[in-house]
Amino acid sequence: MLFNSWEFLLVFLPVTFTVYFLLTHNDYDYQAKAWLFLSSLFFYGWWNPGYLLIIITSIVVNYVFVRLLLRSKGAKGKTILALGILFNVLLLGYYKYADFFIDNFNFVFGLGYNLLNIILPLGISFFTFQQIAYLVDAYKGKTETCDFIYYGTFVAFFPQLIAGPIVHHAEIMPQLKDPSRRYINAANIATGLLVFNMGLAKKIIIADTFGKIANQGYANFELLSLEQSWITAFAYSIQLYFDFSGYSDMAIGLALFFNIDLPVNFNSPHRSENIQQFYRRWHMTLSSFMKNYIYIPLGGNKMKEWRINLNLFITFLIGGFWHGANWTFVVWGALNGLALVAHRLYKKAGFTMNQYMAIAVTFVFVLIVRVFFRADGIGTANTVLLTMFGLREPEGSITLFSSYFDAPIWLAGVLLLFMPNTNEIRERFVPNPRFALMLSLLMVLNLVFMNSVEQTDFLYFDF
Amino acid sequence: MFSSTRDVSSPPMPTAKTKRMFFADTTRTMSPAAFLKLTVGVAIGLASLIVVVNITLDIYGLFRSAEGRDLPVYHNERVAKYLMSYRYIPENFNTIVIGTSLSANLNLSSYFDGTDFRVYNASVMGANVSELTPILKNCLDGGVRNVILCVSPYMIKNSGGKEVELNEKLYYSALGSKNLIETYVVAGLRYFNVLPSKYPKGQIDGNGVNRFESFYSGGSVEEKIQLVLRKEGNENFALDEKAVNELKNLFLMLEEKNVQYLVYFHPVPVEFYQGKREQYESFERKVKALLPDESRLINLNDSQYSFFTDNHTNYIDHGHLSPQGARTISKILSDRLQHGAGQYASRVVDNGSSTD
Repeated sequence: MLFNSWEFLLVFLPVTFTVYFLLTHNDYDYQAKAWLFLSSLFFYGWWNPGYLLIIITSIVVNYVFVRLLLRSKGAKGKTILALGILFNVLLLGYYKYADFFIDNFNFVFGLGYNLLNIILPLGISFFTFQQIAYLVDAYKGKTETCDFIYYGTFVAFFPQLIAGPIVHHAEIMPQLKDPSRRYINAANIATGLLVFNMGLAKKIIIADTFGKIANQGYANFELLSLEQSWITAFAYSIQLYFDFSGYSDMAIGLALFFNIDLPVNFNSPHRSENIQQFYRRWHMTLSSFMKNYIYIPLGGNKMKEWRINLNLFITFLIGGFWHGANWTFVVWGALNGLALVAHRLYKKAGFTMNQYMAIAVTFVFVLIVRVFFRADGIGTANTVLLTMFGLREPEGSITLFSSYFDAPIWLAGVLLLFMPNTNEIRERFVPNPRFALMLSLLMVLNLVFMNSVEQTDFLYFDF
Repeated sequence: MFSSTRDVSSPPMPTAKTKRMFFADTTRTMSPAAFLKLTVGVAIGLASLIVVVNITLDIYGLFRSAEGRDLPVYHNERVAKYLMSYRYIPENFNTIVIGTSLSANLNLSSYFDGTDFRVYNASVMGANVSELTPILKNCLDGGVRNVILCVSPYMIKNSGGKEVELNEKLYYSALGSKNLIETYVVAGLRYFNVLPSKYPKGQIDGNGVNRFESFYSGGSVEEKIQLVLRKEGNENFALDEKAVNELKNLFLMLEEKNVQYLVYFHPVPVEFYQGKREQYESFERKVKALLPDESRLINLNDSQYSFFTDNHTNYIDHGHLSPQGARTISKILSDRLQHGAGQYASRVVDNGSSTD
């Protein structure tokens, strides 16, 4: 079920919300959490009921490991942790990477094993990552004893289940248990409504409009001219930001309806002056997880300079591979890792750059490496990049857009990159008639756009 | 039911004074509950206003009787003709011409003056069979009883919705949507004759006839034919099997609905036909095999129509008809429909009642 679908907005959300608060209001808090858990599973199963088995197995098995870890110490605990991580890695490995490995194995050894053609279950990377973190923290004694229903609700909570923000148990569990959050809170609903609608507008108005250009460009990548290849790469970059940050905003807004404060995931990354800053502002919850569960365990900053750089590179390489089972993601991760190392060396050497120039350089770098992120293969990415740098002639011609009706949206999309973001507007939000009017207009605009376009999936559903 | 505890995101609570003042000062804080009521109320009010305006204008003839109305297409022919197929077309016409751009400029109406035939051209530029089928189905469900179907390879080269899926969801887009806003803008541009080269006034009239010829100006027909032949060579039409199957189902639908129908192969310039003879013949064989009743077919590429296909003034490129060509083909088709194409075409059926 998509957040921008009528069935979600008119049926699922009102029913889930109403039953949840009817239960909490009548002091059935535990039952309310069970309801939220079941509703979230229903939300997940809407796409493909078969996937329910995967997520339920993952939650049950991980919960057993958590219980065992909470009771075990020393070497036994370490073994249980290793088994728990192995279970998650195997689950993710099978569903996400099996065909990738078979394909490469066939290529290297000239063999012909059949691919399994497994369809990636939605959100598996997200909920697997969250649960590995839980296991690690349970082993380290950083978690409290928890009930299965609460654990399940934490993992499957529908606003964040499919594409994040990736939540940490330390942020969510206390909120789920907090008695003061049991009752309907009009202030949270008002804020949630604002944040949700801003996210919805980002997705259905801006991202989908830029997506039309990007899709047309990548579907005909061999025909792109130099200018068109840049426009395509640019359009995708904007689409990705508004699509993913829009989804995160919607998730944050929806969670607020249930008095849950999800962490911020984006903070105007395209205003960043360097790549390090960029990843502190882009998909912040993933960056935080990678830092805490990959970079720091590798040694973090407490190593020699060359090792720090290597750790950075490895962290981003893993981050790239986490995004998808394709060499394009490996290259994308590696290029980002190299850029971070280069930036570190640049900074250490004492170089500086004009602020606007720095923003432009960062923006263009991100745009270029995202060609690997979007392309369906290394060959496609190379073709687009060669065209972008004038090293290749197009094999024909295409039209990227046939009308200019979307021009105001193109302009708005570019301007919004540098204007106050959702978090900043949320901070400024006060319930007054002016905000009420603005929000009403935004809601109506969203309704008009929802009634206009074919619903498209969110880009991060693929990861 | 409302919590007494408030989290960090909660704004300050209002005072009695702010409540009194809020229409005077739009920045005065109000209670979150009042804010929600105001926001949702204004949103519902605005949305209702938009819906009421669109229902009142009803540019597709969906929400009230469309009989006697004259509704041109302003923008997005695909969506507009699909929506018009719900009521406007069946309530005003009993005969339709349907196909791609190759038949879009045929105007048969003038050849049926004084008869029971009322003809709408439901052809859509660039459409494939997947897109034409729902338009045809709506028209037939609404009572259209005579159909002239233009068949060409372009119609079955691909399948599925090219820009938008033509289904019931689109019906509600007529209540308020981005497409509707764009349509009003284009209607304004056409009305005030702004950008006439892109949006000419009266391009698609109330009979659905698309006068698109001016978009194809420049270069001789001969040059255009040679250019396409050079570009495509003897390349196969590469018909989409799914589309071919959909065409078969479309023929079956016409049979099942028991309507009078005429299928014709669009005439292309003779050099073009000769340049792709094998492909055309293979395509024609394929379509004939799908037709339940071959007597319904007119092959306008047949030698008896060489007076037409030999003459370049009938064309504006390698296939699209010039106004002169469109008039001639309209005449041929209307004659066949009125005066007998096989056993069926001598009868005109008006909303189910035979007139012969």
